[in-house]
Amino acid sequence: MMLEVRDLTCGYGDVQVLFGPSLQVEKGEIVALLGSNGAGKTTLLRALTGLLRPTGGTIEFEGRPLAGLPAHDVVDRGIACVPEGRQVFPLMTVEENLLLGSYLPRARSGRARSMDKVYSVFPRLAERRRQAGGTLSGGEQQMLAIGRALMSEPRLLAVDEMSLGLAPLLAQELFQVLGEIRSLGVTVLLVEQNAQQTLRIADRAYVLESGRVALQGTGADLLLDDDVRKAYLAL
Amino acid sequence: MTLVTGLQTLAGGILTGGVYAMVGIGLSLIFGVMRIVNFSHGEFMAVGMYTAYVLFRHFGIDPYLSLLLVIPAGGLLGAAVERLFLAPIARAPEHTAILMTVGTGLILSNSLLFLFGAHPQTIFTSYSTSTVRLGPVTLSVPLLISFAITVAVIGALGWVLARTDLGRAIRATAQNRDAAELQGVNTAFVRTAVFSIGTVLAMAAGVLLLPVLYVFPTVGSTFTLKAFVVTVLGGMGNVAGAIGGGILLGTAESMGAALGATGYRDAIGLVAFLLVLLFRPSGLFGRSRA
Ligand SMILES: Nc1ncnc2c1ncn2[C@@H]1O[C@H](COP(=O)(O)OP(=O)(O)OP(=O)(O)O)[C@@H](O)[C@H]1O
Ligand SMILES: [Mg+2]
Repeated sequence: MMLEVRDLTCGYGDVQVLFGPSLQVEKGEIVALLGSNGAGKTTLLRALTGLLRPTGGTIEFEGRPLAGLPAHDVVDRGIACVPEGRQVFPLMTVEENLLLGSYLPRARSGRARSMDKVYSVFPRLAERRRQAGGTLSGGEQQMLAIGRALMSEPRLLAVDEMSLGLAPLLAQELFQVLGEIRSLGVTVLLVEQNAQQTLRIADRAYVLESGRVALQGTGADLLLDDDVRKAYLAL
Repeated sequence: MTLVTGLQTLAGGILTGGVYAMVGIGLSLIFGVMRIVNFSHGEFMAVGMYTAYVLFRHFGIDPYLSLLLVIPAGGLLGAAVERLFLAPIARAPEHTAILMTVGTGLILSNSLLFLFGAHPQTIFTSYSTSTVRLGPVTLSVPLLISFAITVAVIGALGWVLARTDLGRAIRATAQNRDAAELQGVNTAFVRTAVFSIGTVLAMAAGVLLLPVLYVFPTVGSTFTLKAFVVTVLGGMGNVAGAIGGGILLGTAESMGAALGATGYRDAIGLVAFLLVLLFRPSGLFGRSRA
């Protein structure tokens, strides 16, 4: 098991958001995390990446405990994150954003190679390498956030609301890119609202409701599940 | 005012302004990354002045040479203050940090008072009053040396910020702390580093001003204010803008003094400050962040 989250509890101050969800990710999988607004998906990712300290439960990555590590150490362990809202550095150029992605000493030696790879996946970023991150379009910012995350040579990539606010065609393109990323050997944990496309590329999925896992199954099963179809696919 | 005195005043203003810029850049960098207005900034400058003073008086070390000691010492002092006093309140409400830096400043200035007494002191070096002529303009040698060192220090800092991994980590932390963490940047370390760099800049500026300025325990408070003016002129957290702000303040002060308002030197800067706040609240030089 690559990632094992067990009975995770977490919140903000007195407000508890996660009430013990458990989930697993196998090496090489694409696992999706679905759920309505406010279900706690982003909170779960923030706990996973070390931006929030869980109040209970365990997180194990590649057999070693993760919970409680600061975020910069979690990246060093091999988990990169494309955060909700892209969060590119607005006053830094595309290239500088990518260089930051390879800030960790272990990623610096492969920096030039990683950057070439990112530019070949997203030629649009190569064209705009000297442009400030804040002046990119929403779609380009999303590409940059994904590229930046890949620069740290992760083994697990956690992506939050990648398709939010993107034109359907571009969203589809990015889902394809996630498929390519997986075939390069990177495991993917995908938080999404776009259930239709997500379930099509996901091996397995979890549905989070009010901080608990309400449903889980293979992507194909959930696509056919009546509850999921009603709640998330609007069918 | 004749053309020659005009040029003379301008040159003097620019030279002093360079050192102001150095004080201001430290404050601006600290604000940009830590979101803290460091009310003890000028007091660190005073500590730098007294350090160079002691080294000169008791060990005969030239003030400019003493930078080789003051810079590493300032780095350690700044890092220690950040770790001990500021890191523990990093996530507390803003006014906590204000109280903390005001308190730090009081401790520093009162320690200086305790150690050195209240009366102003100065040093006389062989070059304290020497000048060089550049065409019709006469320039003070210590101010020229100080300006050259300032340019070198600011240039080095600019290079670090623009071109190195540490510099990029500092700018990233200023723009989005969580996102910087997600790239593997230890932002607690960056905050310590930035406070340390800011302290070095303030203390080095103090050393550079010692040959041309009296030193007394509360000399810092005026400079905290000046640094604040420089920072606001340049745009809070805008490091490059602080250079312009420093030169502008230095020039405004010396112009005012040349026009007969010698006693109002400090007031001139504050008037400029209020005008900028009224009409360009994000600073004279555009954008408002590092
Ligand atoms: N910084 C915060 N302080 C307090 N409460 C928060 C904070 N961030 C999120 N919450 C609360 O936690 C709950 C879960 O939020 P979270 O962002 O994890 O949801 P989500 O599943 O990602 O939703 P969305 O799909 O809208 O992004 C919400 O009720 C939200 O109001
Ligand atoms: Mg969310």
